[in-house]
Amino acid sequence: MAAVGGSPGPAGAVLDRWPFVGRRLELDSALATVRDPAHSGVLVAGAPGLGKTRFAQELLAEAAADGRPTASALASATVATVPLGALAHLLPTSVVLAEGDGGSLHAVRLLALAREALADADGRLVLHVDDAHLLDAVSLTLLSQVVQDGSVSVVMTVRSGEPLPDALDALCRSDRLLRLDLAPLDPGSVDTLLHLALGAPLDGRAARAVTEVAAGNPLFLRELVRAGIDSGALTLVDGVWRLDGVLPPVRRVAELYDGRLAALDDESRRLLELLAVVGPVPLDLLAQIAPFDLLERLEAEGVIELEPTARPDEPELVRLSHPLFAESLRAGVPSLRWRSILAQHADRVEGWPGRRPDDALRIASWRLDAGQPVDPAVLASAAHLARVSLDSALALRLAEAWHRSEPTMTTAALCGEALFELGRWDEAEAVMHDGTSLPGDDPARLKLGHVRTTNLLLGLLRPDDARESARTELEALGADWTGDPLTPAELRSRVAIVELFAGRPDDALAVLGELPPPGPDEHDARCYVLWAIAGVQALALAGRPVAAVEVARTAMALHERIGGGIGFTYHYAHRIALLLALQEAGELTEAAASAHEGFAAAVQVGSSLGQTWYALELGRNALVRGTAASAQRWFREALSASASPGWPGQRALALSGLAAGNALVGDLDGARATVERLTALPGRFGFLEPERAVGEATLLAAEGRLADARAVLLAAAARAADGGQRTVEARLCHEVARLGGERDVVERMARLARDGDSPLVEARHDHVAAAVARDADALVAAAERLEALGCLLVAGEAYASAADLVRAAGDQRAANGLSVRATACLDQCEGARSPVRITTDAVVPLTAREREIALLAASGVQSKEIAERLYLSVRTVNNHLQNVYTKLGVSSRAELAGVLDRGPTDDG
Amino acid sequence: MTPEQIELVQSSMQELGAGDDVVRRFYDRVFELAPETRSLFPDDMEELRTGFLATLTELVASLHELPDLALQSRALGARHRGYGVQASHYAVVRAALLDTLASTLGDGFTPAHAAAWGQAYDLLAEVMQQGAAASAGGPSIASRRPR
Repeated sequence: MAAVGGSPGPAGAVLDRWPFVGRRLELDSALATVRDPAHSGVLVAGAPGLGKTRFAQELLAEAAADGRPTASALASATVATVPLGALAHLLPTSVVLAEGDGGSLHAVRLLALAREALADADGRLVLHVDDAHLLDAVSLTLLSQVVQDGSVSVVMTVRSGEPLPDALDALCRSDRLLRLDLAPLDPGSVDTLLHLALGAPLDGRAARAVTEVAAGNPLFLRELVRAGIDSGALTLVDGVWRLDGVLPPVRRVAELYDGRLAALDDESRRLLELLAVVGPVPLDLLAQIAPFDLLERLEAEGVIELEPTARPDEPELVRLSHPLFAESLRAGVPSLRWRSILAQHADRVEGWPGRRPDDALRIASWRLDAGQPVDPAVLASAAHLARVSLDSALALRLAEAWHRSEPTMTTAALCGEALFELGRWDEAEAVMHDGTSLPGDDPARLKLGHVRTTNLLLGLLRPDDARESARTELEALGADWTGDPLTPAELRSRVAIVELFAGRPDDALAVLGELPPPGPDEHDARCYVLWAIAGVQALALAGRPVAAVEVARTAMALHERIGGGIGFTYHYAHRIALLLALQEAGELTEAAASAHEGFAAAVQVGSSLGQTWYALELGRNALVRGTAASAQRWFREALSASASPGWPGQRALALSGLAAGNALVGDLDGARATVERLTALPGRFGFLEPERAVGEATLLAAEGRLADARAVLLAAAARAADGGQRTVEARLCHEVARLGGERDVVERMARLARDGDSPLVEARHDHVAAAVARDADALVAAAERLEALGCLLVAGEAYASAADLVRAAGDQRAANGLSVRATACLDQCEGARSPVRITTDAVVPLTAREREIALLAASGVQSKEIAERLYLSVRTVNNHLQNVYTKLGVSSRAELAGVLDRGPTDDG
Repeated sequence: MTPEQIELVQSSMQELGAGDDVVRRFYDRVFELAPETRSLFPDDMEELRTGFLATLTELVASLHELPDLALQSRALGARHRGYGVQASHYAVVRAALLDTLASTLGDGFTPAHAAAWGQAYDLLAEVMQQGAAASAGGPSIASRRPR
């Protein structure tokens, strides 16, 4: 690069590359950070023109002198039209062209391959990413990952004053990055900069004028000085620069290049517009379009520059030297000329022998924007890459272009899928509905059907329509199907998913039929995996989660071995299914650990659907344990992850769980508000739906309305039984028992325990049976079982109940021992309050009726109202209340409230 | 810097004289401000002290001739990098220099003098650090001209 840090220009000439002044302290600090293995790099923020890029370049030079490998990447709006656009030139072609192999390459692997490629340098790479706020989504994800794992030292520049996308904002706050905010240069530094750049001192007036206008912005200074010299206002007289008249009016950074643009000759202008529109162009190619003299001249004027390359086999790229200039140029190109520039350049690159394989994506993108037809094969590749990278907006753009040029079932499915991910469910259904009459082979038809079903189920919440279309297609196969032998299994799998999400696991299992053998050949394995997609969860909910866990593990191993896409699984679908099975079996610790891992992976990859499912699992897990704060936290996380695009079914699950969590900690206002939101949601989502009763019931119980609470739960249990969601039924029955309805549910629970294989369901039954029998030893045994499974809240309650019985039988010491165990469990429940707990610490146990009245009274409800609510006479209520006072050793409602740790509620 | 400021620096330089004392006080002040820098210097500072004033005199004299100034300062800066001098040290020296000048020249050291000397020092320091820095250049388009 000409005159870099070299001698100041001979007096009279102005340097094209101005010296780097006033940032030495920051540079030292940044260099120390880049050298530090505990940090992942530096973030340089600042307004345009303050010298962020130059700073990064100086830093990279120092790092290179240290012996580190370096590379640079420039993000821009043009480059972002291709997934991984900004970083593609740093990665091997095999990664960037991610060949479509039916879906086994997914975002996690793509990014892992990219990370490996970056880490595969001789020493820790120092990567300069310029204008990071313009990165495409996939490059940004990749960058976030390398910052997290520290495999690369990143030097990112970000223009401050721009609103940042969430992911970038999060990255910028990482404590693995040193943040430097470049400030405008102080007047002393400005003075020095001018002196060195101009090669001679300025007189006072000139110095003041320039300093005042430029306000410490080095880019501004440079352009201002250049304009001043060109106009003759600034002249060198007797070795001193003087100002005659006024400086040309350059008031705003945005206008900085207007003068220059106006002064361009046609040839220069054409070349610069090309660079502005398509991004950096290889020097060898550019030299074929423009005379070398012109290129040299433009470089000398500081308008274009050669981008440093990472690898010796990479072509050297020429780019505009400042993004502001690029923006000004782009703004001046009318749309017709824009298209013709793109079209011409696409032709040019296509015909160029030095073309890189990943140029195919760029060419496709240019032709798209130019309104030209695009090679479908390239579009397919581009669309697939975008889909795999979870860049749905880009995937839609490419898919739609392909669909317009060559509409088939395949393109309709791609469009539908992208629209689904973006939350545009009605549009997705529209395009896919029409897509069914387009040309396509069997695999294409299957794929389209899968995506359409997913959209109907999870997006539009129309399970009946989903069921009808899925069953119709299955029936159409008939008994004498001679096509692809896998198709019947695929379709059964799809119907089963519909039934599962409709809350009907028995129907799902019925359509799936018997579990096929896992081998010996690949066809068998595929059939097994297809069965497992819906079958694992259906089996688990239907009451056999232990068997389901086995099937899930086998299916995961088989799918891993076969590779490729099977059915319409997301890559985490098997893990989610396994999680549910573990959960329903009571393997709470393992389920939680696995869910944490899955959640972290989903966050890494930016999959909001994945994050939502895992967060929901973690929330349910916490509720079953009774850890209230965690439950709230995870359900809120699920709400946050599903906020965009707002998956309705999952949001319903999240709200129902959150309500239960709120009520559990006594946040009744919160619980009420959440239940209202839940009721306001449209559509039906049967999967786990009866569990929403837990929230509503806990709310009622916390208000002292135990009978109402039990009624809500029983109704929900009936709904659960109806579809065969038996583990849910067992849970709901257990809740009924906890609220005093143990006799109503004990037989049912015995049957559920007997007919299924879930240790959790069995433990629940043990608890209830022991409570009915008022058998202290059995209660303790049940408590221990529950505690071992991790269900701390109910375990604590069981210990407490046992303590009461034992105390009543006169064994104070044993009772105290059990109370201690009860407290030990309950204390781990993060502030969960149990209606059972607060009334069983009594020396003498209260009857169910007394308990009800005590709670209501302590909440501030007057006797008259208690009487109305419970259909008793006021006198009876007061009698009961007197008994309660005696048993608890208090003499007023206020004292009662104190003992029960309860105060008046808002609605008294 | 303005021509007036250069004049101020050059004239007050002459008033400093050849004082060995000045240099001693300067270094004392440096080590007072930043004791940790003592280890960057040799135990016996005699040679350094004599050299310091000579160098400073030459640099100040060249303030009107930027190319000469740059040549000297760059080389000086590169050497200092070898001694382990960092950006933060330049700030310490600046303070020490101004303090020493103030105490030596007394009332003769006006605010205008302080501003001028500050600018002169900043100019020198920047060029020295340019000399110390690794080059941020790479190949240029011009260097890639086909034969």
